[in-house]
Amino acid sequence: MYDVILGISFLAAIYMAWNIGANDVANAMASAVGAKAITLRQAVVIGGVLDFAGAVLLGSHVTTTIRKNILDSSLITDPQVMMLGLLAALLAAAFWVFFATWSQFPVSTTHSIVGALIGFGIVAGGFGAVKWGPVAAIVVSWVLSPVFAGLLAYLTFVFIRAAVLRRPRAFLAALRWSPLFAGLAVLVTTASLLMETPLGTRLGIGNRTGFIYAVGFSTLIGVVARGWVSRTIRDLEGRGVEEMFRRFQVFTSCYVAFAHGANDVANAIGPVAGIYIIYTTHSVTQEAPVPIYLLLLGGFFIALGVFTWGYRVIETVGSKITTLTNTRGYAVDFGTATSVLVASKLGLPVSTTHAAVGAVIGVGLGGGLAAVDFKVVWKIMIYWVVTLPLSAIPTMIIFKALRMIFI
Amino acid sequence: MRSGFLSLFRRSPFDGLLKHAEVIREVAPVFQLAILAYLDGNFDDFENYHNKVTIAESQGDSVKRNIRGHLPHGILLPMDKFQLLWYLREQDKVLDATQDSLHWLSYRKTDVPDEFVDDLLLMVEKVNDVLKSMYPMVATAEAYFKSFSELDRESVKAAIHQIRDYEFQSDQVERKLLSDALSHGSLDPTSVFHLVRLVEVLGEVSNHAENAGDMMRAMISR
Repeated sequence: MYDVILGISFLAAIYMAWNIGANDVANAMASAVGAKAITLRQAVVIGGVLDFAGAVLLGSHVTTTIRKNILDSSLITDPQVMMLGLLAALLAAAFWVFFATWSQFPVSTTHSIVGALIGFGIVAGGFGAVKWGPVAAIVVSWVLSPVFAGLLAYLTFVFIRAAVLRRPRAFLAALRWSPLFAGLAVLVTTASLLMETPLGTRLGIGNRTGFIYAVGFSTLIGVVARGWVSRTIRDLEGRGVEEMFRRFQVFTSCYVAFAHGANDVANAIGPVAGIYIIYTTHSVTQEAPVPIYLLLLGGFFIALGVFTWGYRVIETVGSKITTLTNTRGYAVDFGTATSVLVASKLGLPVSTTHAAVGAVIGVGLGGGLAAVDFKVVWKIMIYWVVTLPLSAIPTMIIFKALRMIFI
Repeated sequence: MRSGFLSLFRRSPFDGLLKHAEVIREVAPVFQLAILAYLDGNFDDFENYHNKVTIAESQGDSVKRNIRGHLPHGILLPMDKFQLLWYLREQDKVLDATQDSLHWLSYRKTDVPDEFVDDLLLMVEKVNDVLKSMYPMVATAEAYFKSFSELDRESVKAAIHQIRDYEFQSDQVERKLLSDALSHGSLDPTSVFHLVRLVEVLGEVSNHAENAGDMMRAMISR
């Protein structure tokens, strides 16, 4: 029985991971393609490779949260029940994601999997089996992450406008600030990689040293980037500034893909990690770490999703976003990725799409976009609220059915 | 494809504003030809040009409605929505007044005295300049809201200044024409009224263009 459950859960997780790569990556990468910062082929390579890297190197934080911080395993002690419940949650979330893709609903895979796990907790162990404290923190993070992304994108764009665009010699002003624009994305990525991660521990790097290394590395990259743009862009007036930010969007696109992988791999791998640990230990344990090869598997299938289907979605979304210029695209990408990566470091599963929506609204509030529809925020909030019961209730039904079949 | 992200991006109102300004620009030579045909006594040609302007005005109205229809509640714009709608209203009134001037002319066949013709043609030329200068103002404003560059902002201000200059010149000719018409000894009162009203409506074209310029100036203010 354990083998069958493990086998089915792997298939469901693979479908989820493939779907995240096929559909969600587009929301993260489309602004760069729309602003013509990167070509479709580059977007696919960056999306695939950096998503994989983010999933493997930083994915464990969020995966651990999804595996341990939503359900109170002291109230669901039967390993078979826990395995079936996690499988039911995964199947229900996969079904909801499939339904959402088919019906074009703007829902989040993150919200689906969290809603499904809550549903299982309630049906298996009652309301007490759900750790409402951490769940409340997760729900608060769903509100805070788009707000933070929006604020950051707003401040980034307002700074670019004041320090660069409105200057009489805008290109030279952009060149002056270029190490900051190129280095910031590298700083947050490197700091995330080195601080409080297995990589940092293996290299014997503490938080302070990790931060110093990150600052040093990003400064180096910033200075190199300045040399690169000053040598290769000759258009001092006109399109020079946008051309410079077009280059910087290559950095932020990598940053977005990396943050996406770090955050979203957990949606597919979180429940299967729980099932795998029960499969190997035959007990409901909280202590075992997430096996690295599960993250590799999740990262691989996300990348496969990008390569097999994601490129078509990126192409479609990118071709429809024509109003984003490179300066605005940079601000959107930076706000989105920083918000998602910070949430991932805190172990909070948030929606990358919602963070991206928040960032676009932020740039819109800063007057950077020709016309932004604020009403989408309400639409997204409605889908966010309905996603929780609509992924929780099918989980309950599937769990009851599985229990009748297997136990 | 489930993408809440995509539905955020709405069409820029400048696409419509440019299309509307393009209609005004295309109307300019037709309007001038219509007045010339009227002064030459070619009333068939005048009606032909008059119809063309009426069709263009109707196209302009449709573009205006389309812009308004795509600015529902909850849209974020780089400028105040009220300012944009006010600007649009003034830009549309430029086209309306152009059409009204030809409508007014079509109501009566007035024999314009020779001593008025030069000044009237000068006024028509100034109105024509105003009509042609709307498009550059909108185009530079669109570029400014994309770049936020000081150079582009200066270009918009220069385009607004140009419209103000034309309005001032048109105003000068308008006052001279009004004074001459009202103090003309031999012209019958109906003809005087027809000419005075025509000159006033022509003046309205420039006045609305100037108002549009003022609103554009408010939109690009920092």
